[in-house]
Amino acid sequence: MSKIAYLNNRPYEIEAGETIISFARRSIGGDSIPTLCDAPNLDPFGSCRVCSVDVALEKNGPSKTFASCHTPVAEGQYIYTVSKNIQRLRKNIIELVLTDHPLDCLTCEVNGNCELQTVAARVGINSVRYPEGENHLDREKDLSHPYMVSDLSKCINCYRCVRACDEVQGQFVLSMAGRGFDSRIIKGLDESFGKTALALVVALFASLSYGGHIGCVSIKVYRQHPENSDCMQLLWSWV
Amino acid sequence: MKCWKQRIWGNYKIDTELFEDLLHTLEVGSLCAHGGGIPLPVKKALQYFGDELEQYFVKETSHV
Repeated sequence: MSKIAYLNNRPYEIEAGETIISFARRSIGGDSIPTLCDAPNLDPFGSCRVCSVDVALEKNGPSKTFASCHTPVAEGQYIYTVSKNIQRLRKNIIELVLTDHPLDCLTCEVNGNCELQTVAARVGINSVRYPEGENHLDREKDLSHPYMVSDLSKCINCYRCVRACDEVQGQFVLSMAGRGFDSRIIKGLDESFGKTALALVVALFASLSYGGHIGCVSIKVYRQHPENSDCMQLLWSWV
Repeated sequence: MKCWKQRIWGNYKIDTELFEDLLHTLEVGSLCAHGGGIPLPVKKALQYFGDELEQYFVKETSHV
């Protein structure tokens, strides 16, 4: 007898051990729940909370909010992915992320190909209501590496680069130092890209493939010499 | 006659809707109870001492 859970009051079959987000993606579509810190091939992290859903034990019953990437689905759950509560939560989370993010989409190199931009548009953000406060917009770009640029003023602390370097490549080159507002991504022993033991290009491309879509890590070669397409093909084939 | 807060912060008033959104986000979206618990004393203060605190808040009717 197959086990059933409900997504927006419709029944779907669940598979053993899957999270709510993989259940939703399998049942109602790959983009049914927006995410920021989630990435294919990485373990769920649960930091951004954009994937939050309301879970109740009876239809339209009292619900609790869970991060769907990090919560296993159970039989008989009523999962609501677009309730008013969730829409409000997602919009406010993105608004808070944007208070510490340069709002220069038009001149940013990932304009139009940016996951943050896509999610912000999806949740309906068109302005940031918070007055200006302390932020990290004055972080300088790290241009020390011959073909990698790191612009950590755009970092949203999703940890995808750290996790990719840890889980996919096993190089542990990138890490997060500090706590709370002082959190910052560091390379190697808190050095620049150029100085760290990054002899292996592939190590960085793991993080690039995830960080590249928020504009925090980009490829100098591509930006400055787009005609080097052979080089690009080789590099991207390793990702 | 200005209180010490007005002398430091000037005439800045907190947007009520933004504040309530922030409290909601903290309460519902926080990873652990540390963040989830912070809004409770704030909400209680607003509930029981609303008369004294309303001078620091403003109700914005629309955000474009």
